[in-house]
Amino acid sequence: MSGPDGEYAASALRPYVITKGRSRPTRNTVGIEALLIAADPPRELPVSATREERALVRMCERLLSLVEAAAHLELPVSLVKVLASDLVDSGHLNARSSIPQAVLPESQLLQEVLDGLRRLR
Amino acid sequence: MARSPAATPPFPKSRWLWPAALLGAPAALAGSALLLAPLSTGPALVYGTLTPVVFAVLSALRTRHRHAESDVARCRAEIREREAEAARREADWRAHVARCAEQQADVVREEVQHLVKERLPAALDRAEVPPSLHGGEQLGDAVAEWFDRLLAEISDAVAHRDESRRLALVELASRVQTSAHRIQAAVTGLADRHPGDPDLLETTMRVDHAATQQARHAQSLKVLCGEWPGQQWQKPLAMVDVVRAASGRIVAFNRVEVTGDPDVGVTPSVVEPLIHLLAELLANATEYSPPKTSVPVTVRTVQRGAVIEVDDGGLGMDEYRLAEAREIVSGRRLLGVGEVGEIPQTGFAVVGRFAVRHGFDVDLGPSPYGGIRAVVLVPADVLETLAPAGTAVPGPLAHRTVRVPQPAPAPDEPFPPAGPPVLPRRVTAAAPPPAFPAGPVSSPPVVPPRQRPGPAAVPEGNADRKLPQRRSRRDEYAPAVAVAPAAVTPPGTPEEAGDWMEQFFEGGRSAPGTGSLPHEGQDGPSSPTADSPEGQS
Repeated sequence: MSGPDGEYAASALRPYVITKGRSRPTRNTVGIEALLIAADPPRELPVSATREERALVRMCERLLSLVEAAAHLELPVSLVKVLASDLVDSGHLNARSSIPQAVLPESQLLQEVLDGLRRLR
Repeated sequence: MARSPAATPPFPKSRWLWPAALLGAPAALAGSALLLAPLSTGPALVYGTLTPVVFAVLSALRTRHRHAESDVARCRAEIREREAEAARREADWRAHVARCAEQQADVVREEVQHLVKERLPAALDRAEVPPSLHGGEQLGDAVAEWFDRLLAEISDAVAHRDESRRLALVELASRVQTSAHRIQAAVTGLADRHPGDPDLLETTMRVDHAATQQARHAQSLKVLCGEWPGQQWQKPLAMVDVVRAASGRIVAFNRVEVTGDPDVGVTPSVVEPLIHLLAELLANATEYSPPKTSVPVTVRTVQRGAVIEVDDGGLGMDEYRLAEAREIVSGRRLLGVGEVGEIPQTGFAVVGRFAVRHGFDVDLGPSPYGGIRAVVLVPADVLETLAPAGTAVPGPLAHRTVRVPQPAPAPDEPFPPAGPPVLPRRVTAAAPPPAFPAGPVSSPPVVPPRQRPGPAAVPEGNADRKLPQRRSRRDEYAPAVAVAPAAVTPPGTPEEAGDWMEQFFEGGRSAPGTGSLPHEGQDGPSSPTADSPEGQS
C-alpha cells in the first residue's frame, strides 16, 4: 500500500478502475449503513468477476456492514458502495438497510453484570 | 632555345672580308712591287717576295679563324642541348611534384570522408571509433594525430553533454512523478473523508486518472533515460489486476477487457515494471483500435510461465514497420531518449527496456482482430499463486444469521482520515450474541488493527497448487473475521459475563492478545518482513 519512502501510500489499482469510472451505483444504491449478506443459496459469480467482487461476496457470507467490508477490502467506502450495489443488482448480495432491533437484555441481568464488574476491582 | 645564334653568323662581314683581305693585300703588294720595279728593284723585290708570304699568312689566319668559328658553333650547340635537357628535367620534376600533391590530396580526402562518414558518427553515438584508413606514414603523423585528437574531443564533449542532459531529464521527470503522486494522495484522502459525496468522488477520480497518466509519462521518460522505477509494491498482485492497474494509467481505461485466471499473481518486484509495460502496450492498442471498441486482454498460464495477450483492432503494420517494432519491444534494439522520434515508439522503447531488464519475452504479430497482437511472456519464476479472492474468510456459516446491533455511523458524518484501519476492531466485537448489549461494542479496547493476527492465520486451502502459496493483499481482513466468533463467548450467567468482561479489558490493555488464535508476535501484516516472499528472485 505504500511506496518505498512511505510518502505515497496508494494501491496499484486506482479507484476509478475498480468502479469502471463510476462514482455512483448504476441502479440500486446501497446505503452506507447497510448490512450485506450473500445470497442464499449462493450464486456463482461470472468468470469476469474481479477479485474485489469475489472477496466482497465471500466475506459477506457472514452478515457484514458495508463500512466493515470497505475496511477489509482496504478500499474507500464510496467505492465499495458502488461494488456492493452492483452485486445487489446482480443478485449475489442482499442488502438490509434497516438495522435490526437488538434484543435488549433485561435490566436485572445488566444490574448483575454491573455488580460482577464492581466485584472485580 | 629562344636564342638562335646558329641562324646568323656572328660576323657576317667576315665572308667577304677574308677574300678581300686575301686578294687585296697580296694584290696591293704585287701592285706596289710592279710600280716600284722601274724605280728601284730592291724594294720591288722585297714587296714581290712579301706578297706570297702575306698571302700565306693570311691563308693560315683564315684557316684558324674557320676552326675557331666551328668551335664556337659546336659549343653553342652543346649549350643548347644542355639547356633543353635542363628544361625537360624541370618539366619532369614539376609533373612529379604535381602528381605527388594530388596523391596526398586524395589520401587526405579519403581520410576526411572516412572521418565524417564512419568515425564521427561512431564518436557521436559513443560507440567504438573505427581506426583511420591510412596510417601516419601516408597521412603524415601530425595530421593523423590531430584527427584522433578531434575525435577524442568530440567524444568527450558528447559524453559530457549526454550525461548532463540525462541527469536533468531524470531529475525533472522525478519531480513531475512525485508531484503527480502527491496529487493522487491528496485526492484519495479527500474522497476518503467524504464517502457520502458521489460528485466529489467523481471529481477525485478524474483528477486521480489524470495524475496517474502524468506519473506514467514521467516514469517513461525516466526509463528511457536508463533509470528504473523507484516505486515498489510490497505485495504480489494478480495478473488480471496488473492488467487492470495498467489500464488505469491510460486514457481509455474503460475499453480494456481482461479475462483470465484471477489467482495467478506476480511477485512484488515485477509488479511495477509489468504494470508500466502493459500500460504502454494498452495505450498503443486503444489508440490504434477504432474508438469505442474494447481491447481484449487475455491472461493465461503456460508451461514456461504466464502469457498476456493484448489485441487491437487497428489496421496493423506493414512488414517493415512490424519487424522494426518487434526489434524494439523485445529489447533487441534498445532506444534511448534521444532516439525515439515518434509517439508510438516511445511506448515500444519503454516496453523493450523493461523486457530486457526483467526477462519478459515481448513480441508482436498480426492479430486475428486485424491489428497487432502483443504477447508478453512472464517467466514462471516471478509468478505466484494467490489465495483465491475471499477464501480467507473462514467465518463459520452458523454465524450468518446473527443479528448485530450495528453502531452505524451517520451517513453524513465524515469518517476520520484513518477510518478504515479503525474498523476491523469493530468486527471483533461485531459478533456478540443478541443478548449482549451494544455498549462494549462501541467502546472497544484500543487494539491497533495492524496487530491483528496476520496472514499466518490464513487457512491452507490451496495445497494442491503447483506454485508457491501466496497471500492476497486482501487477506488482512480474514483473521479479524476469524477471531470474532472465537473471541466472543456468550455470557450465560452474570459471573460468566463478569469473567468475560475481565478478559475483555485485560485483552484491551495487553494488545494484541485478544484473539484466541495464535499470533505472530508483534509482526502484523503491515510489517514488510511479514510479507517478504520466500521465493523471490
